Amino acid sequence: MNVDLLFQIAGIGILVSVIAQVLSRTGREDMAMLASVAGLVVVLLMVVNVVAQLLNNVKSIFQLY
Amino acid sequence: MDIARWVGLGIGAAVLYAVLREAKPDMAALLSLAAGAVLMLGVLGGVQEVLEAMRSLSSRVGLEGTYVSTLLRVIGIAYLAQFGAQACRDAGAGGIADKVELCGKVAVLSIAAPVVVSLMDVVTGVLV
Repeated sequence: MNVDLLFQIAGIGILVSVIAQVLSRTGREDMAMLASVAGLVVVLLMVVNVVAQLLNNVKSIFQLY
Repeated sequence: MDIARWVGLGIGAAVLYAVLREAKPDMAALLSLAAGAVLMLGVLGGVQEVLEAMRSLSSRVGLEGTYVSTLLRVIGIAYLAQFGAQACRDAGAGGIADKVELCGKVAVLSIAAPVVVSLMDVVTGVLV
Protein backbone atom coordinates (compact mmCIF):
# COMPACT_ATOMS: atom_id res chain seq x y z
CA MET A 1 0.00 0.00 0.00
CA ASN A 2 2.48 2.69 -1.15
CA VAL A 3 0.40 5.72 -0.30
CA ASP A 4 3.30 8.10 -0.48
CA LEU A 5 3.46 7.53 -4.25
CA LEU A 6 0.24 9.50 -4.71
CA PHE A 7 1.51 12.42 -2.69
CA GLN A 8 4.81 12.42 -4.58
CA ILE A 9 2.97 12.57 -7.90
CA ALA A 10 0.76 15.41 -6.70
CA GLY A 11 3.80 17.27 -5.39
CA ILE A 12 5.70 16.89 -8.64
CA GLY A 13 2.65 17.98 -10.60
CA ILE A 14 2.14 21.15 -8.60
CA LEU A 15 5.86 21.94 -8.58
CA VAL A 16 6.17 21.53 -12.34
CA SER A 17 3.12 23.65 -13.01
CA VAL A 18 4.52 26.43 -10.80
CA ILE A 19 7.91 26.24 -12.49
CA ALA A 20 6.30 26.32 -15.92
CA GLN A 21 4.26 29.37 -14.92
CA VAL A 22 7.33 31.20 -13.64
CA LEU A 23 9.39 30.34 -16.69
CA SER A 24 6.68 31.35 -19.11
CA ARG A 25 6.13 34.62 -17.20
CA THR A 26 9.81 35.55 -17.57
CA GLY A 27 9.56 35.04 -21.30
CA ARG A 28 11.28 31.61 -21.64
CA GLU A 29 8.42 29.52 -23.06
CA ASP A 30 10.72 26.79 -24.43
CA MET A 31 12.22 26.17 -20.97
CA ALA A 32 8.71 26.00 -19.53
CA MET A 33 7.76 23.35 -22.09
CA LEU A 34 10.92 21.38 -21.31
CA ALA A 35 10.24 21.54 -17.58
CA SER A 36 6.69 20.26 -17.97
CA VAL A 37 7.81 17.44 -20.26
CA ALA A 38 10.52 16.46 -17.78
CA GLY A 39 8.02 16.42 -14.92
CA LEU A 40 5.66 14.29 -16.96
CA VAL A 41 8.39 11.77 -17.75
CA VAL A 42 9.34 11.43 -14.09
CA VAL A 43 5.74 10.82 -13.07
CA LEU A 44 5.27 8.36 -15.94
CA LEU A 45 8.21 6.30 -14.75
CA MET A 46 6.79 6.14 -11.24
CA VAL A 47 3.31 5.17 -12.43
CA VAL A 48 4.58 2.54 -14.86
CA ASN A 49 6.23 0.64 -12.03
CA VAL A 50 3.02 0.47 -9.98
CA VAL A 51 0.86 -0.54 -12.93
CA ALA A 52 3.33 -3.23 -14.00
CA GLN A 53 3.32 -4.60 -10.44
CA LEU A 54 -0.48 -4.67 -10.45
CA LEU A 55 -0.69 -6.44 -13.82
CA ASN A 56 1.86 -9.08 -12.80
CA ASN A 57 0.07 -9.75 -9.51
CA VAL A 58 -3.28 -10.14 -11.23
CA LYS A 59 -1.81 -12.45 -13.84
CA SER A 60 -0.28 -14.66 -11.18
CA ILE A 61 -3.33 -14.74 -8.91
CA PHE A 62 -5.90 -15.45 -11.62
CA GLN A 63 -3.56 -17.72 -13.64
CA LEU A 64 -4.05 -15.51 -16.70
CA TYR A 65 -1.15 -16.66 -18.87
CA MET B 1 -8.28 -5.43 5.27
CA ASP B 2 -9.47 -2.26 6.94
CA ILE B 3 -11.83 -0.46 4.65
CA ALA B 4 -11.16 2.90 6.35
CA ARG B 5 -7.65 3.11 4.96
CA TRP B 6 -8.78 2.42 1.42
CA VAL B 7 -11.65 4.88 1.55
CA GLY B 8 -9.33 7.52 3.00
CA LEU B 9 -6.78 6.87 0.29
CA GLY B 10 -9.45 7.11 -2.40
CA ILE B 11 -10.78 10.41 -1.07
CA GLY B 12 -7.27 11.81 -0.72
CA ALA B 13 -6.45 10.83 -4.28
CA ALA B 14 -9.69 12.40 -5.49
CA VAL B 15 -8.85 15.68 -3.77
CA LEU B 16 -5.33 15.67 -5.21
CA TYR B 17 -6.84 14.90 -8.62
CA ALA B 18 -9.15 17.90 -8.34
CA VAL B 19 -6.23 20.13 -7.34
CA LEU B 20 -4.06 18.92 -10.20
CA ARG B 21 -6.76 19.06 -12.84
CA GLU B 22 -6.58 22.83 -13.25
CA ALA B 23 -2.81 23.09 -13.17
CA LYS B 24 -1.85 20.05 -15.17
CA PRO B 25 -4.66 17.88 -16.64
CA ASP B 26 -2.20 15.30 -18.02
CA MET B 27 -0.55 14.87 -14.61
CA ALA B 28 -4.01 14.52 -13.05
CA ALA B 29 -4.80 11.62 -15.37
CA LEU B 30 -1.57 9.93 -14.30
CA LEU B 31 -2.45 10.53 -10.66
CA SER B 32 -5.85 8.87 -11.10
CA LEU B 33 -4.18 5.92 -12.85
CA ALA B 34 -1.69 5.56 -10.00
CA ALA B 35 -4.44 5.83 -7.38
CA GLY B 36 -6.46 3.15 -9.18
CA ALA B 37 -3.46 0.86 -9.36
CA VAL B 38 -2.58 1.32 -5.68
CA LEU B 39 -6.15 0.66 -4.58
CA MET B 40 -6.50 -2.45 -6.71
CA LEU B 41 -3.15 -3.71 -5.47
CA GLY B 42 -4.45 -3.29 -1.93
CA VAL B 43 -7.60 -5.23 -2.75
CA LEU B 44 -5.70 -8.11 -4.36
CA GLY B 45 -4.82 -9.56 -0.97
CA GLY B 46 -8.47 -9.86 -0.03
CA VAL B 47 -9.36 -11.25 -3.44
CA GLN B 48 -6.74 -13.96 -3.00
CA GLU B 49 -8.27 -15.10 0.29
CA VAL B 50 -11.72 -15.25 -1.32
CA LEU B 51 -10.34 -17.30 -4.19
CA GLU B 52 -8.65 -19.74 -1.80
CA ALA B 53 -11.95 -20.23 0.04
CA MET B 54 -13.78 -20.71 -3.25
CA ARG B 55 -11.20 -23.21 -4.47
CA SER B 56 -11.34 -25.28 -1.26
CA LEU B 57 -15.15 -25.17 -1.33
CA SER B 58 -15.30 -26.35 -4.94
CA SER B 59 -12.81 -29.17 -4.33
CA ARG B 60 -14.85 -30.33 -1.31
CA VAL B 61 -18.03 -30.32 -3.41
CA GLY B 62 -16.15 -32.29 -6.05
CA LEU B 63 -16.63 -29.68 -8.77
CA GLU B 64 -14.38 -30.24 -11.76
CA GLY B 65 -11.16 -28.19 -11.61
CA THR B 66 -11.30 -26.85 -15.17
CA TYR B 67 -14.57 -24.97 -14.57
CA VAL B 68 -13.23 -23.32 -11.45
CA SER B 69 -10.03 -22.22 -13.20
CA THR B 70 -12.09 -20.89 -16.11
CA LEU B 71 -14.21 -18.93 -13.67
CA LEU B 72 -11.06 -17.57 -12.03
CA ARG B 73 -9.65 -16.39 -15.32
CA VAL B 74 -12.92 -14.75 -16.31
CA ILE B 75 -12.91 -12.84 -13.02
CA GLY B 76 -9.30 -11.80 -13.61
CA ILE B 77 -10.06 -10.55 -17.10
CA ALA B 78 -13.05 -8.59 -15.86
CA TYR B 79 -10.91 -7.15 -13.07
CA LEU B 80 -8.23 -5.93 -15.45
CA ALA B 81 -10.57 -4.76 -18.21
CA GLN B 82 -12.54 -2.65 -15.76
CA PHE B 83 -9.34 -1.11 -14.40
CA GLY B 84 -8.05 -0.27 -17.87
CA ALA B 85 -11.35 1.10 -19.12
CA GLN B 86 -11.74 3.28 -16.05
CA ALA B 87 -8.21 4.64 -16.41
CA CYS B 88 -8.87 5.53 -20.03
CA ARG B 89 -12.16 7.18 -19.12
CA ASP B 90 -10.42 9.24 -16.41
CA ALA B 91 -7.92 10.45 -18.96
CA GLY B 92 -10.87 11.64 -21.04
CA ALA B 93 -10.62 8.99 -23.76
CA GLY B 94 -14.11 7.48 -23.71
CA GLY B 95 -13.67 5.82 -27.08
CA ILE B 96 -10.54 3.97 -26.04
CA ALA B 97 -12.24 2.90 -22.82
CA ASP B 98 -15.05 1.27 -24.79
CA LYS B 99 -12.51 -0.52 -26.98
CA VAL B 100 -10.72 -1.85 -23.91
CA GLU B 101 -14.02 -3.14 -22.55
CA LEU B 102 -14.71 -4.76 -25.93
CA CYS B 103 -11.36 -6.54 -25.73
CA GLY B 104 -12.29 -7.75 -22.24
CA LYS B 105 -15.61 -9.11 -23.47
CA VAL B 106 -13.96 -10.92 -26.38
CA ALA B 107 -11.36 -12.43 -24.06
CA VAL B 108 -14.05 -13.65 -21.68
CA LEU B 109 -16.04 -15.14 -24.54
CA SER B 110 -13.01 -16.90 -25.95
CA ILE B 111 -12.36 -18.51 -22.55
CA ALA B 112 -15.99 -19.36 -21.87
CA ALA B 113 -16.63 -20.90 -25.32
CA PRO B 114 -15.35 -24.43 -24.48
CA VAL B 115 -17.43 -24.49 -21.31
CA VAL B 116 -20.56 -23.65 -23.30
CA VAL B 117 -19.71 -26.38 -25.82
CA SER B 118 -19.33 -28.98 -23.09
CA LEU B 119 -22.62 -27.79 -21.57
CA MET B 120 -24.30 -28.36 -24.92
CA ASP B 121 -22.87 -31.88 -25.07
CA VAL B 122 -24.24 -32.65 -21.63
CA VAL B 123 -27.67 -31.25 -22.51
CA THR B 124 -27.92 -33.09 -25.81
CA GLY B 125 -26.72 -36.24 -24.09
CA VAL B 126 -29.52 -36.00 -21.56
CA LEU B 127 -32.21 -35.21 -24.16
CA VAL B 128 -31.30 -37.94 -26.65
